[in-house]
Amino acid sequence: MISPTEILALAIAFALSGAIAWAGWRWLPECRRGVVSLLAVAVAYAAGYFLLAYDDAIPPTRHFHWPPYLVLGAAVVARFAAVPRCPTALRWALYAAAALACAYFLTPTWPALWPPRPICIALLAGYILAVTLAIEPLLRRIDPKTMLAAMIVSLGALAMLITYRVSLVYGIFALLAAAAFAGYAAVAWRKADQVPLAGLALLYAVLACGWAFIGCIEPRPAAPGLLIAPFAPLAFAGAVAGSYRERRFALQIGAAFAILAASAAWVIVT
Amino acid sequence: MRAKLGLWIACGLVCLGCGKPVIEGGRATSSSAEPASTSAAADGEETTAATTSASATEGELAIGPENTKIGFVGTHVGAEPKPRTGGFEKFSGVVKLDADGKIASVVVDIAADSLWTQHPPLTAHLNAPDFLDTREYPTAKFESTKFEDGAADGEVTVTGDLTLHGVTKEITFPAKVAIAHDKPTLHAEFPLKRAEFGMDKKLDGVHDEVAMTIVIGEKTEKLPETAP
Repeated sequence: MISPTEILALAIAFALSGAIAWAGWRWLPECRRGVVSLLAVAVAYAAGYFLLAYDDAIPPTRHFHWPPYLVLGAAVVARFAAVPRCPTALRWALYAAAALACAYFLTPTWPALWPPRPICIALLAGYILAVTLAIEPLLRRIDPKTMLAAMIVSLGALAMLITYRVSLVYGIFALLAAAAFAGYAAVAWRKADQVPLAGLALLYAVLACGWAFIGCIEPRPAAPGLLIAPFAPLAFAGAVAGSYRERRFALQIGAAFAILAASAAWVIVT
Repeated sequence: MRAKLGLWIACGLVCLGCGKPVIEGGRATSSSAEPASTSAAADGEETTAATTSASATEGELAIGPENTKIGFVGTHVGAEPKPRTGGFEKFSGVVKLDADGKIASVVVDIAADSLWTQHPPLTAHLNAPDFLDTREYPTAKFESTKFEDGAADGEVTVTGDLTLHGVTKEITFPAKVAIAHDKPTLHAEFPLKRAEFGMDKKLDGVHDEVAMTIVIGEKTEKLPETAP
């Protein structure tokens, strides 16, 4: 069912993300390498998206044309917000502003939209902000490889659920996000714990929550089960309390998969 | 604190999805072009009333799901076409009759988002931007401009403007017409190229041509759901 063009777009998202990661690691000084993950994921996702939808999404005319633009903007915001010296209040404010902007553009202007658009914008902004703020500390404290894997699996599962329940087109757009994250992870895997990845939380939230929301509101009846999937990496939240080191890896992965399974069950049953 | 905030927002978002069904409203049901059969289909008594009024009176015949069906069959590309049958549940229109009681013109407004198939996930896909994109284009319309006699008796060639997926194009198709029980009937089967109406996604997986069937004189009957 996947067309050659879609396979090419996925391959480009994966390869470009890996190439940017490789180039960044090779030529950027160590103090600048924090930007590599943001650049790799955002540019690779946008490239893959525009390859598939260059005739529709440039300029954007529909709500689902906005993710590539928003992820590029989120990368800029994350570059400044996720640095350790950024005051917490300013970081929260930057994330909140980014979440609100994303929600504004990702919420369609359908007359039939329910709840009304302003409420949808507020809820989606809160959703993106909550996932960002919950995942960011995990990226600082938990093994980056594990968190990268959790985000890739979550995005991949979300893409499959969207494909099954809503739309093949949306599903591929969501899968591009997993490909972009996977491309970075494939190259940076061995050195992932040497570079701060906290900024990726905003990019993950924009892509995962954005596509979950777009997929949720499209069908009739809606598919709220999709909204659970982006929370899968939060299965590690319990570990933040301090017992992470003692917990077994398999248990954590199992918890993440349990969240995805709950999301899948809800989507399939409804 | 963050966890609680996230939990409340998650609950709100989940309520967003499972609260009031989003099928209400929409351009199809809020604009003046709303198919008259929408409320009738939801109420048995009103459906009966509509059926009664569907008889030919004063040179006009009201059409709707109670006396007309609009169906389609799409097929996959490849060795196994796996045909998928569907149709529309909500539509309304008027057939104008000439002095002989034959059909002279047809106008029908279709609630595009009322499409059905035998597979719910397929119904969702057809409603999505992959195909009909009914969130953005919730209505379709056909308005005939010409009814010409065909080669054989009882055959006509219908020409008219079809608005689908936000695109209006003139189409022409053959049909058989007759008078049955003092009411005109029409039966038409013709291919429609979806790409001509901007539905050009997945052409490598699903054929461009969709087999359309329009029958005036038979009520709409949904086929039961089956496994894909």
